[in-house]
Order: sequence, then C-alpha cells, then structure tokens
Amino acid sequence: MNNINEMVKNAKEALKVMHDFTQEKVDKITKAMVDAGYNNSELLAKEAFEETGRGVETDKATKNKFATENVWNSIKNNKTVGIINDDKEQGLTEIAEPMGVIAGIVPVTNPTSTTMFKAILAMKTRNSIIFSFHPQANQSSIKAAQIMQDAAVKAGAPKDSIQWIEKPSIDATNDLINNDGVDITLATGGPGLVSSAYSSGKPALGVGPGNGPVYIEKTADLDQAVKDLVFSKTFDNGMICSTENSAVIDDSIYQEIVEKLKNNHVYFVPEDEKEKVTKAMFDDQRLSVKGPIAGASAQKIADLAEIEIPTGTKVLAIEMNGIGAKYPMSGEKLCPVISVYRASSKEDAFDKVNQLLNYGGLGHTAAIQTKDDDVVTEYGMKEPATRIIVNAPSGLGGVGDLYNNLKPSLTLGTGTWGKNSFSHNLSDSDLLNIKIIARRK
Amino acid sequence: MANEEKVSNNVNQNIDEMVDKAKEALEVMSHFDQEKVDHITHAMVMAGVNYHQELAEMAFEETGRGVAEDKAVKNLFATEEIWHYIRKDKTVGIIDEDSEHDLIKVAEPLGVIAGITPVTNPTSTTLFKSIISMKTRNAIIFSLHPQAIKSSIKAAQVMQDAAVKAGAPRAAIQWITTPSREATSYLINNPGVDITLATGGPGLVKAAYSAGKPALGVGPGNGPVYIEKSANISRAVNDLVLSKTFDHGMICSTENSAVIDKEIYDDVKQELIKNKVYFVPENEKQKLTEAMFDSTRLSVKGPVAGASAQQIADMAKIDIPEDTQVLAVEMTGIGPKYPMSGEKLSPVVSVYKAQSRENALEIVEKLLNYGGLGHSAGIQTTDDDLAVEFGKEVKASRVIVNSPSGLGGIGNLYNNMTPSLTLGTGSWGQNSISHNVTDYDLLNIKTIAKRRNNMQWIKLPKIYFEKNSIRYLTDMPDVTKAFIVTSPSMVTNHYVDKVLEALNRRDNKVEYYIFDDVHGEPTIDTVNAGVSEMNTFKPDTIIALGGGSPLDAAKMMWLMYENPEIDFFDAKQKFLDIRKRAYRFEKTNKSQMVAIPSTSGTGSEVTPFSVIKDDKLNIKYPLADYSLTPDVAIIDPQFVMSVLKGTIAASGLDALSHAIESYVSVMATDYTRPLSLQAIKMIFENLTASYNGDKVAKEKMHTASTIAGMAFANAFLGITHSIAHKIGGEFDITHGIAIAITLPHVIRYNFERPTKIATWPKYESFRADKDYAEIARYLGLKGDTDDELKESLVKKFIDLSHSVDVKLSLKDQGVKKEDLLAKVDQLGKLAYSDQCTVANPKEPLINDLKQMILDEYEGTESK
Repeated sequence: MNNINEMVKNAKEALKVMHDFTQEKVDKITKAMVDAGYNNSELLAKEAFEETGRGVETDKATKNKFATENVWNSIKNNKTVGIINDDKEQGLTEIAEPMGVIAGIVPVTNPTSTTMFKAILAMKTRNSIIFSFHPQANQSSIKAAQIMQDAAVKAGAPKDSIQWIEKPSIDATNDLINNDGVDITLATGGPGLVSSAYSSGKPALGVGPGNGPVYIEKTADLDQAVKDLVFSKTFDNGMICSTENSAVIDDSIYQEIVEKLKNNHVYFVPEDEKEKVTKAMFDDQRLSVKGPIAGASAQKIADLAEIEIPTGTKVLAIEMNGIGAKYPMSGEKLCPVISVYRASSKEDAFDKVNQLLNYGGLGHTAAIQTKDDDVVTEYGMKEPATRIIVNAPSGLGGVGDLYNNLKPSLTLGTGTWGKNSFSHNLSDSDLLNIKIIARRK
Repeated sequence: MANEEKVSNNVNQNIDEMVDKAKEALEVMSHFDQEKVDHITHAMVMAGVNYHQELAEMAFEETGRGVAEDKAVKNLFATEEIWHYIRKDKTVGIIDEDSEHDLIKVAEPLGVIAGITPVTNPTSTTLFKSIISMKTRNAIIFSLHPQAIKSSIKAAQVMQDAAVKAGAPRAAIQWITTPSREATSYLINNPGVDITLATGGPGLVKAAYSAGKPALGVGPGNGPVYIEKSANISRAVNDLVLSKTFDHGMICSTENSAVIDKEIYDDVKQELIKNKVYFVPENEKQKLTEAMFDSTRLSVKGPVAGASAQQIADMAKIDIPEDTQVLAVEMTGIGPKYPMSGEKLSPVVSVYKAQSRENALEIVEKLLNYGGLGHSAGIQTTDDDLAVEFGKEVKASRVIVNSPSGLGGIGNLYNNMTPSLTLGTGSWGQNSISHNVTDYDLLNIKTIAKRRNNMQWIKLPKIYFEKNSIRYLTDMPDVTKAFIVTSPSMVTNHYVDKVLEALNRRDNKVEYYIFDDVHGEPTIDTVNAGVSEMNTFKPDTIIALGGGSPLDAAKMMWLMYENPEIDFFDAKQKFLDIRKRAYRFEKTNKSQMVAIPSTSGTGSEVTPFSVIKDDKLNIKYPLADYSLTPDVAIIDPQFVMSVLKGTIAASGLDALSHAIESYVSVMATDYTRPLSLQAIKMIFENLTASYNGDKVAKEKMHTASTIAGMAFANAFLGITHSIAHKIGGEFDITHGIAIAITLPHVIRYNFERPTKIATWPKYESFRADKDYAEIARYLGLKGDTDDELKESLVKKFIDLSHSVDVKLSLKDQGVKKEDLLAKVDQLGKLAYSDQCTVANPKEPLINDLKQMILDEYEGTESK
C-alpha cells in the first residue's frame, strides 16, 4: 500500500519534468524506447514463452516488433505536445496535455508486447505509467518494462515515468487503480478487471472479451480463406483477442473448405470425442477455458483431452450446431481450436455470427471472407462488432496495420457493447487531454 | 422499515421496467435511417423552440434561481443553436467511406443512457440531452434534479410528445417521476444502462464513473478571467458583467474571479463601477462570505446559486446601491481559508490585482486548482501571442479569448467551439473527455477494414549498358565536380583512368577527386572519411566504381552528404515492410550518383541497400532506403574482363541466388518476376563459360547480375541470405560461397507446405512449391511433378557450383564440426532476426534454421 503511494508520488514528479519536454524531445525518447524494444524482440519473446509456457516463441517476437516498430511508424509524426492544431479561420487553437498518471494493466496473453506498447504510447504523450503485470508473466513483463525504462532514461526521461509493481496481486492492482493520484487506468484484461477500472470513480480505457467468428461466404477465395484462418489460429497459438474462434461456412462451399482445411493440418475431431475435448478445455462453472488451455498447441490440447490426433496437426476443428452456455465450445478458446458451423443461407450465417458475438464477444471483432462488396457492407452494418476484418486473418487483422489500415494497437476497444468507453484501436490520441483556445468570432 | 422498503422496491421496479422499455425502443430505432432520425430530432427541436419561453418561466418559478429571460435564451441555445450545429452530422449507418484506406465507418447508438440534469440549467440540459440522444438513436432515461423536477419533467414531456408525433417510440425518452439519491444510484448502476451522461456535482460524477461501465461526466468550474494590460477595457468589462448577470452567473464556465494587471487596475475598476458593479467595502466582506458559503463544505449555500446581487446582499445584511448588478470582492488570498475565492454560481466576483504577468498566471493557476481544474479560463488581451501562451500554461480545457466566459464556454455563440451544455474537463476533473459533449460522443463506431493492397512499385535507376557505355559520362548532364569512390585495385588496373577519360571528353571542364580508401568491407570510419572529403570538395556527381564494397560505401557517403543531420545509428534499418521506410530521408538533390560495378555481382548498382560494418563492434548494419538507389548505373562489361576466377564463381552464384530468391519472395510481383527468370536463365547459361574465360559469357553475366539486382531491389530476398550472412560472418566464408552452400537446403525447405505462413497482405496463399517448379520448367528441366522439377533445379544448381569449383559444404570450407555445434544455436537465432527473413515464402522456425545450418556441414556434397 505504502509502496503504491510512493510510486504515485514519484510518477507525479516525473510528470512535472516531462511537462517541459518539447515534441522533439518526446519523439527522441520514444524512438529510443522503440529501438530498444525492437532490438530485444527475440530476447523478450523467449522470456515470455519460458515463463508462461504459452504461445509460440517466434510469434511473440513478431508481436514485440509490431508493438514497437509498427506502432511507432503509425504515431511518429503525430503532434502530441503543445499546439497540435491551429485553425486560424475558425479562431480555434488546440493544445495537447498529458492525462497524468496512468495505471497500466497487462495480460498474460501478450505480456511483453502490451507492456512496450503502453510504455511507448505513454511516453509519446508525456504521461507517467505505473504497471500492474499479470502474475503468470511478471518476470518477462518486468524485463520489458526495464528495457523501456533504461532506454527512456538514457535518452533523457525521468526514471519514474515508467514504474511497476514488483509483486502483483489483486489487492495491489485494486490499490493502484483506486489510488487518488492515478488519473486513468488502461485496462487490458478480463471483464472483471475492466469492470474494476470503470468503477474507480474516474475515467478508464478498458477492453472487452472477444469471440470473433469468420463468415466464409460462398464467393470467397477459398485458398485465401483457409490460409488466413489456419494462420490466425496458429499465430501464437491463437491468443490474440481478435482471433477467429468460429468459422461459419456457406453450405455450397462447406465440403470444399473442410477438405482444404484438412489439407492444411486441421484435424476434424470425430463426434464421439467432442465431449472429451470440451470437458478438457472448458471449466464447467465459469464456462471459460481452463488455465492451461490459453496458448497451448493443438497437440497439447489433444493430450489433455486424451484423444489421438495425426502428427503435424496444427488446429483442431469441432463441427457444431449449438451456440451459447449449453455449448461451451462455442465460446472464446484462446487456442488453436475452432468451432465450425454450416450456414444454410446468408441470413442463417448472419444470425449465427450474431449469436456467437452475443456469446461473449459483443462489440469485439468479426471477420468475413468474400468477394462481394455488398455483402461486406451488409455484414458490417448488421453485426455488433467494432472491427470487421475483410479477407484477412482476423487475429493479426484486428490489431491493425499489418493487413489493413486500422491503427496498430494491442488494446482493442469494444464500445458500450463490451462496456468500454471507446470502440476503436487505442492509440496515442486517447491518452491526451485537449485544451482549446477559442477566439471571439 | 417495511413501508420505505416497499417504496424503494417500487421505485426500483419502476426503473427496471423503464430500462426494459428503453431497450425495446432501441430495437425500434435501430431500423431508423438518417432521414427519419433527423426528421424526429428536428420536430423535437421545433417543439423546444415553441416552448422555450414557457419552460423558462416554469423553471424560474420552480427554482427561484436565475433570470427567466436568460433561461429562455438557454432553451433556445439548447434547441436551435445545437440543432443548427449538428443537423448535418452523419450519425446513422455508414458515416464515412475512406476508399483510399479501405475503411468504412458505421455509426451505432451506445444504448440506454442515464441522463442526469442539474438545478442550474434544468430545462435547457433536458432539451439538449434529449436532442443529441435522439440524433444518435439512443434511448434516454432521465434522473432530473429534485428542485426543478416539475419544469424538467415538462421539458422532457415536450420532447417525448414531439418525438412520438414524428414517429419515435415513446420509451425513447423517459424519466424518473419521483427523484431521490437511491433512485439515481439504482438507475446508474442498472445492468441495462450502458452509459451515464452526468451533468452535476463531483459526487454524482464520481458515482457515474464508479458504475463499472463508461460514463461522460463533467467537472466543477472556478474559472478566472485574466484582464491583461493590453485588453480592450470597455469590452472586457462588458463581457464580465454580461457573464455574471446572465442567468445570475450559473453557467459552469462563468468567470468566478477577475485577475487584473496593475497597470490598468484602476481603469478597469472604474469601468466596472460604471457598469453597476459594487465593490464591497473591507468591513463587510466577512459578512458576505459567511452568508454565501457553507463553512464545512466550503461551497455556496443552497439559496445562493442563481440569486441576484440584491438577494445576496439581503442575505448578508449589507446595503448596496439600488441598481447594483454584480458584487465585487477585492482579495489576495486563494484556497479553503478564503472561501470567497471558490465557485460562486452567482453574480459575485472575486477580484485580484496582478503585479506582473507571472503573478497573474500564478493567481490563475491557484484559482483553477481550487475547484476548477480542467474547466474554463478566460483572457482579455489584444495580444494573440499572449493568448496562446496563456492557453498553453493554464490547466483549463477551454480558454475563452476576448468574450464572456459563461456564454463563451458553452460554445458557438461567441466562438467556434462545439455548442454544448455538458462541458468535459479531462482527467484534471476526473472526466473521460476534455471537450464539449456533442452527438458524436454518443456513438459506438464500427470500422469495416478491408484487406489493404499496399501500393507497390518498382524503382530503378537509369541503366546504360553495352561495351563502352562508360561514355555516358561524357554526355551526362550536370557534371562539373566528380567525387570518385573506388578501391585501390581499380586505380592500379587503370579502370579509374577510363572513367577520367570519359569525363575529360566532356564539353565542360570537370574537377575530380579520387577516394580510393575502400579496402575489403566498407566500414563506418571509411564512410565518415569519405563524407568529410565530400563536404570539402562539394561534388555534384558521385561516381562509384568497383565491387560491392566501393558501391555500398559510396551510397552511404552520398546519403550522409545529402542529409548532414543523419545519425548513423538512426539510419540502421529494421522493418517488417520497407514501404514504410521509403523516402525517410529527404533528398536535397545536391548531387547525383553513378554506380559502375566491376563484378557480376552484388547488384548494388541498382538496389536501395548498403551494408556497412562497424569495425569496433564487428557488427554489420544493413541499411535499406530507396534514397540509396543510385540515379544512374553503367553496366559496361569492359570492367569485368579481368576478374579473378574465385570471384567470378562466388559473385556469379550470389547473383543467381538474388534471382531465385526474388522469384519466390512474398513480395515478388508481375514486374519483378520476369527479371528474376531472365537472370536465372542467363546465369545458368553463362557462368561456367565466364569462369573459363569466355568474354561474351562475361558480358552476359554482367548484365544478368544487374537484372537480378533489379529484381531483388524490389522483391527482396529470403533465408538463403539470412543464413549466409551469419555463417559467412562467423566462419569467415566468402558471401557467394556461403550462399551457394545454403541455397539447395533452402529450396528444399521452402518447397514444403508451411506450418507457419509468412505475413504479407498481398501474398494470398503459399506458392513457393509452384514457383520453384516454374523456374525449372522455364529452364527446360525434366520432371513429372512439382517435387521432381524442384529436385532437377537443385541438381542443376549443384552441377553449376561444381563447374566453377565450388564445393557445397561447410566442411570443405574448413569449418570444424565442434565449432559449428557450439555456434549453431546462436546462428539460428541471428539468422531468424536477419532482415532478409521477412520476405521468405514461409516463416521459418528457429529450429528449422538451426537444422539447415547443421545440415550444411556435410552439405549437398554427401549426396
């Protein structure tokens, strides 16, 4: 408790120092952090993988590169200090100010990348950040934060602009979020944590859970659709929150897609083994996946379920009809397992997608594979997802920039559907107070 | 007790019912299009305009606060002014189509809004929130201020009736009929409520931000106005008095204090007095303070908000002139010990004399910190630069310049800010917004993101070829001072002389400088030395003559000569996508660059790459940027006639790998693949002959090497280069040899269907297997399946290597097995993180790379 008060006090001191930084200085420091993070991508990926045992090491390295370089390229030219907009015609001048002390929560799924992402955004906007890491990834996250801090200090930032709780716990996190000196919480975590952040009596920026489906429509490029899906599920073993958790496939191409999936190391679990897999994967009370599942490989999951799968299987597919609490397998899986639905028509497909989103993924992400632009628009209009990924892998598509022009980010807002205050990919502009000077008309 | 509980349960049940009905209304409104929404909202606006006077009178009657006429103005503002500003806003369905970025934005309502209204602007806030809520298809349930419940309900009723008449569901607008703190809390925390629009005091706002979901709240205001010495005094005074008297100073952005420069203090005071402002004498200040402020809470007592100057004087039992409009209290102190320095919500203003600008800013800061952080601040000055400085300094979300702060802060009347009755104060006031809330704040925005096809390009220098093409230097425009970068051997074999001859034949006289200090691999020191000479010599043309080293060195020197501010370490390249790096450096066009290769070759004469070594750290920095591409490449075969056999072999095999890797790269395009294929064909047909002395073959090889360079300059390479870079560096093996040993393994590896697919949006599906087969077919090789064709290609490559006396195993290069075993882990990791890995047709796992490196010990010699 005392420690947090002290950290907050130090963070406020750091704010004062950073307040005098020019845009140039801020960008120089942030770039130094970006470079340090990028250069340590592999090292941090290794540490995160060894500590959590989740995901794929090389993919974690890619995420680290994304969180540093892609994010930097997206924000480097942004004005975030002083006058950022001067409309002489309207007589309005906008000035950017930091929000203050940020409490940064980091998940176990993307520990080092989220840490660096938030540190970079915070520095770009002259905010101080105090991290609360996920206990299962504490060491590797601290390492990432340390690298950020060292680079920042070397480039001229005050040390206390980046701090972290050494021994994480629910109590410590709550103390941090609710501390009077903390101005806002960046909450990347589960619904419980996000709800806490939004109950602290002050603003928060949190995320929602995902249960994204991909609708493979009859005019889709079948090879691309299959490739994108398999890629998403295997990338870091399917842990990115915007990853496809289900595939809804038009009847007329269903068989063909299934064949192609099978040719791409996807194993369709036979009817009599589905129950075993479900029981092994899902906690029957909470209805969410059990601890060891998130980021586990297909083989590991098969072992846990005590079923045999062909060697080289990368993804498990479960053909299903039901969606909802009675069918836990229809929920978010955070691993290379996919529930597969056959759609009898476009309306049926839209309906299934809607149901899947409503089952734990409202407002997050939905994907579609199709060549028909009108269907794309209709899908986007009708489905309650804040990001609609078209003809691309949904996992790496949702985080932005790699496959489309969404802003690169590791904190994906889900609007009021997911009880968030924003519905886009978090970026530097979300961490600013904007003052406006208004001249008489 | 039982009865209270029953009442409480009834109220809660009522709220639950309202929430259910609101959700039904949302469902109905979700089918409304923009036209319908605007039609309904407009009808509500008109109704509000019709009732603006009546509602104002009701509010005044009920609350006894403010001025009825001014409340009427506020009602007009909340309807007509707001509508005028938002009527054209797209708030339904597709609201933005950005075809350049392939993004479509779709607007959706937030859902069920809990709307809290204050006692200060009861009817106007109710009208305002109803209007922006309908404009965005949200359903709103009001918790209206108890002291203004009747007039607020009337306002809500007017809105509801108008909406229903125009086609909206009744439950789009609802309200709690019997307000209480419990009811408000129950509403805010109801699971069916999506967000609270909290216009009220800090306690309420905090409750809204503690409900476990998003909120849009406001902060308290204690806005000062700084009347600076250059101000237009009569306007400044007019504005201040207007603010304080408008609805008796209840708008939250109103000036609560005036901070006046000492130079104009007396003039301002006189002007204020002329404008019916009464300066309370010293001995009456205490009475006034005690009458106005609650001594525990330190905020104004209930009856004060919106009271007139006369009423307040009566409360304090002091005498004031009859037509006094505003009370002024001269002060020096700020803070809880001086309650009068706080928010007054009435026509009372605390007045401070500033000794200097610094002093003025200090006072302003203290005032804002005392209950007004993040809200508003005003400044009266004719110096716009000062206004901007002031704006930068103060912690206020809105800085009102040369206008009344009260009516200025709500926007649009006196300035171009968004009109609103809910003014955010940023994190300073514990809000999530720092602007004037408007319709856009009540939307969820969905983004449809289409797969982006990066614009691609093919960038090449101008290329002059054939024997004696060196004569282009005679005709090339704009050459007066030539800086020649080359290696010592180019001097001793008189190749440099050929360059000078061509220059000397020009019509104009050419000065030249020869920098031949490039030995072996180019280093940072070499580059810096070259740049230093360039800065003295100031060339307009840089000519690089030689193998890869002088070419790479010259390119880097050229870049740094053109961009003096570059830090070498900044230029160090990393990318997932080079297109994000293109033209990072602004070309100043001081000079042009000509590259004349003397090997066949690195391709450097046409590529955007340059590899420079840091001698001290023994690290190589591969730089990539299109501004490194030379302007002109001269492919003149006379410069390759005396190349040593070993070099012919190594550089020829390297050129072949450029061609093959660029063909299968994820970034290969229809523009680069023909170049790759042609180069492959030419090299297979000519390398052996060139090695054995055939001059025509040497010429063909020189061309083929450049064509391969053109291909990989735009399509990049793959893991053959990643691995070769590392094992070549570690075991000191010539690049071309390391490449040759590695290539067969990579072809076989890449051919297999990937378990991990490469990340590049334009690479829609794995095709490396077909690609290798295509190369084999193009060369006329035999095979019934893709696999057989691939093997034919590998065999042909092995045969070619042997024909130029290159053995394809690390063992044959003198590498010891135990050394390899010791280093393989690290080499695998380094190879993985090499820049070239990104373009490989499939993403390798580190273990795959390690395995390949191990296999290279015996290599393909054992087969």
